[in-house]
Amino acid sequence: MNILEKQKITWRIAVIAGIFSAIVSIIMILNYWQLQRSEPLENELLLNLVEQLRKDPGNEQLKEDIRRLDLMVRKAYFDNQWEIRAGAFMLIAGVVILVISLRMYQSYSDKLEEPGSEDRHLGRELIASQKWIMYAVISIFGLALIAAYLSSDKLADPYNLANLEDTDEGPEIEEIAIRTSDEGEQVTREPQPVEDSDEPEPLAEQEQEGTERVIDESTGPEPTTEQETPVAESNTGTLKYANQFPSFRGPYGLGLSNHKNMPVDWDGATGRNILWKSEVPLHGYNSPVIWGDKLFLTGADASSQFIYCYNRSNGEIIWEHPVNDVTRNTSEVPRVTDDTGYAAPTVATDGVNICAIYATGDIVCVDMEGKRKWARNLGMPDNHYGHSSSLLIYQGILLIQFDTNKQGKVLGLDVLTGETKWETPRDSKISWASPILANVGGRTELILSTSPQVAGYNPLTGEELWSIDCLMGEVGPSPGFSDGVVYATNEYAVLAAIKPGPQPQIVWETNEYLPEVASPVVDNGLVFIGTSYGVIVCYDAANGELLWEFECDDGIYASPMIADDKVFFLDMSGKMHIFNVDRTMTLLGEPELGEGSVSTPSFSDGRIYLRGYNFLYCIGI
Amino acid sequence: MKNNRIAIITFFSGLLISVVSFAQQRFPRPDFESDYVVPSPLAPEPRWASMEILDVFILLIVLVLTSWLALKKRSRRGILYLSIFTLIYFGFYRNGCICSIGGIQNVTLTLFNPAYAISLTALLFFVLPLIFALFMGRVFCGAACPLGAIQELVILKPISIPSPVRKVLGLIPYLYLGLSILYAATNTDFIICRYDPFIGIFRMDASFEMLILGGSFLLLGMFVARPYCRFLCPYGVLLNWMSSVSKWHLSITPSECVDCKLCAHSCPVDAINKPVIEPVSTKKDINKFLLSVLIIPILVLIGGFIGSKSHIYLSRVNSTVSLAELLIAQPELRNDPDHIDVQTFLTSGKTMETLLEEAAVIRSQFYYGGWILGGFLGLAFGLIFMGKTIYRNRKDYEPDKGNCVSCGRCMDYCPVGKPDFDEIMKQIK
Repeated sequence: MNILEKQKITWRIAVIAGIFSAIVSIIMILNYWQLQRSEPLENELLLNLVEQLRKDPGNEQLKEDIRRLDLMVRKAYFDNQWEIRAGAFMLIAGVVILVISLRMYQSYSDKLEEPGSEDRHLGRELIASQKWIMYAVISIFGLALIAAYLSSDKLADPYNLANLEDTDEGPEIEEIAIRTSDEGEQVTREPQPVEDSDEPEPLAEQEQEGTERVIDESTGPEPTTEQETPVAESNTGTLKYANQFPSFRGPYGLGLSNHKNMPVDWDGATGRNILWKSEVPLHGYNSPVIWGDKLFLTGADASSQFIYCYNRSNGEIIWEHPVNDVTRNTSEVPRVTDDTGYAAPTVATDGVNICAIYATGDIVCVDMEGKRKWARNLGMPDNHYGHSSSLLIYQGILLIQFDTNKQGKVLGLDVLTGETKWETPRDSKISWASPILANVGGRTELILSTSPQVAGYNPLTGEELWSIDCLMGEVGPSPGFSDGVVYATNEYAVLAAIKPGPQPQIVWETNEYLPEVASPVVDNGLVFIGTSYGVIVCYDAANGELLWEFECDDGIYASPMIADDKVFFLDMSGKMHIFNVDRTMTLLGEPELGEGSVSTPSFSDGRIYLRGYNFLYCIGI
Repeated sequence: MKNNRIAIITFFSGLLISVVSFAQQRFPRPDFESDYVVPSPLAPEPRWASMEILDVFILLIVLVLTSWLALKKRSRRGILYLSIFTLIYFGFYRNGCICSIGGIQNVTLTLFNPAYAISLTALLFFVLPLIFALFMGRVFCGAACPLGAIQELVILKPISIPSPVRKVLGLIPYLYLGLSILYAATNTDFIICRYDPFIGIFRMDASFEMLILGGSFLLLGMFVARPYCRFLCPYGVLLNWMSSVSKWHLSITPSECVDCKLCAHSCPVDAINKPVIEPVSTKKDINKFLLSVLIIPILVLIGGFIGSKSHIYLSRVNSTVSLAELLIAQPELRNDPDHIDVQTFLTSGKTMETLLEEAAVIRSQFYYGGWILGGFLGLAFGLIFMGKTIYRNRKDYEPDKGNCVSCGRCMDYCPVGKPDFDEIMKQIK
């Protein structure tokens, strides 16, 4: 084979290798873009099927379809990755052949260098270099200068900083607008005088007694005459209050209910022991609140907010109250995540007033007939998931835990007028926990959990009574309380038993199983925890010893409740896990709602009220 | 030519047999019910200290061998084989790290950040090539640098770049060096490592963008030899300074140049100075030189001023400054749960005031750093400009000590001392 033939062959090889490499490159680039765009678990069809399954959880065929599709999209994803890997090797091989063949082709074409005359006078070359260097330096410096003058210093710009200060401080709380819901016009009302006492009265007898929780066996609705009492605070701290379900996690937010004869068996799919089921018009993760024969919920989306009042005996909506006319100082709608929504906080009632708060910072108070008493906006909570802290009413004061990214604070509003009675800034981070009220050493304290501190306040004045740092992260669970000990916890932090007082002390702490959202509930010397990864745990309240644990199929967001000497854990699939309140685990039942839920159950009159994602259920025998 | 073929085959074979470790995509584990227990993640053990000493030892051996091959043995083949070894060991085996080029940043950070202490290995990797350059020329570039080696092996048909273009492009490494020192000194970033075009190839885990960049450099390197070394490498600036005054340096011819001109186009990096016979410098030339000397302090001042003015946009590379500006410009981002940087800041417990204070301190560092950077560039550009006003008479073809990368190609072209020298001389005649 002569050189010309070799040249020809190597050239052809080079051309083929070049085309091959180019094709592989193009395919790899297309494959890469496809891989970048596809998220296997966000496949639209798969998500649709999962949504269908949520509505029809018993559909086995649907489950099988989801499994098949899930496998298929995962396989496609990994196949794609394999193709890119294999393509890389093919490309390398192609390029190797291309370079070698080109080098060989070139070597066959090489000719001996012919020495020529060289220009030995470099003056012109140097002058040219000088000019080019000068131009380049002028260009570099010139571009840098232009860029410098085009850059604005946001850190030093007083206008930007002023805006920032506005943002940091948060919008001013608007002047209280008291409206009548029917007429929509503003009416100024003189605040009704409320007897102020800096020292709060202790809670109802049950709280003073500490371990003795149940004080009244009465399970029937309260007489309506009491609901017409004009002075709202008269109901809170009374036996009547303690026998209702007036706030998130029951009276005082402790997770305990006095009511007995609770069912342990039902089935949402077949309707067994489901007394009624009623659709909730607007979405919300808040929990039912009960006073007498009425049950209250809220719902909201980005454009509307409502309070709903249901007839507890038949599930019919008695009235609904729109909360869309509150004056705000911004037209923006807060950004909330799907798992928090616009109506996560649960309403609070004292039997005369019903107060609700939304992710927008709108807070409203209506009477038991749904007539507006007052409404105001607290400023849009700077909360990256959405505001979720529920309300409490005590002695005529509406208690609000308002820990946001901008500032932590706790407020007490006059429940009759909405005026701020006190406001205490807190050196705390954002939190999603709700307040509780507890009888500490003979006085009622408002106890709040956040990162890093757990603190006690006088609910009548807002004065901070004690504080201790023990938590971290994004605190969702509210504190628990029993026998004079506060139990505060958060996922990735600890479960701490705190002896409150001027010198608060951590009695014990553990970090074995910790909840992300669900609050702890404490009774009979036992602490119960439900984790977001589906483990139910019982600790000894005296020393934190792990007594038993139980694994569910799904995670738990709804806070556990104790009623009728049973502890109720609702997992996210809607399955209730019911245990005896005991040091040894006794599973009493695992009835299913037939619908997912993250709302905390409510108890009254031998019935359990559960809010699913779409429906409200009344369970009883 | 045969050597080149062997080199290329060896290089790509090494590439093929290297273990491929692609970065795994983040992917949630399937929620299956099984007894499988997810193992706890384990942090890899640090490399043995003895292995780090071995790295330094190997670097030293390679530098010594390259010096011997370039200066005494005059073997282009030997240098080529050494560079293949370097590519495999320091490139593919050691994944391009530790690296003398990146060492600039470690040394800078040590000088400016009392909390950071450079390891002895990193220090030696930074210092040894400079010491060798001071005595033997850029032997590090010839065979001890994996970045140089990978570019060396793909040189196919190098073209000569006109001198003015070369000089202008040659300003870029000064800029890159200045910026890399500024960002390292302010604890902002190690930009040399971040934008190393070949590291992703060595590690076989390049992102798409870096793969394109590395591939482009190699593709360009087929025709414009060693583009990274010549027009980007910040370490090359330091090596250039050292090598320019090197005591010994490889020479094209082992004895007297016969002026055959065979080597004239042999250098792929245009680092051979041709013989020049210029008339004696005129008064005009002397004035030009004096003017260029006077320009230097002016350039330093102008550069420093512009550098200080540039501190605002230069500091935006810093994550603290950019986050502070972002939150000022778009405060609503604090409500964005998907914005990782913002959420990390919010959960860190720092207040906005603290963030602003930190950003202001860093920006102030950039203000003074900008003065120094601009002044340095003004000085460097002024000296380069001044260098172009000086005519040096030269009798023979000589390597340009500062720019020569000691690859040894030119030695192969020189017939002097070769067994068939007489015959070649006859051909020339």
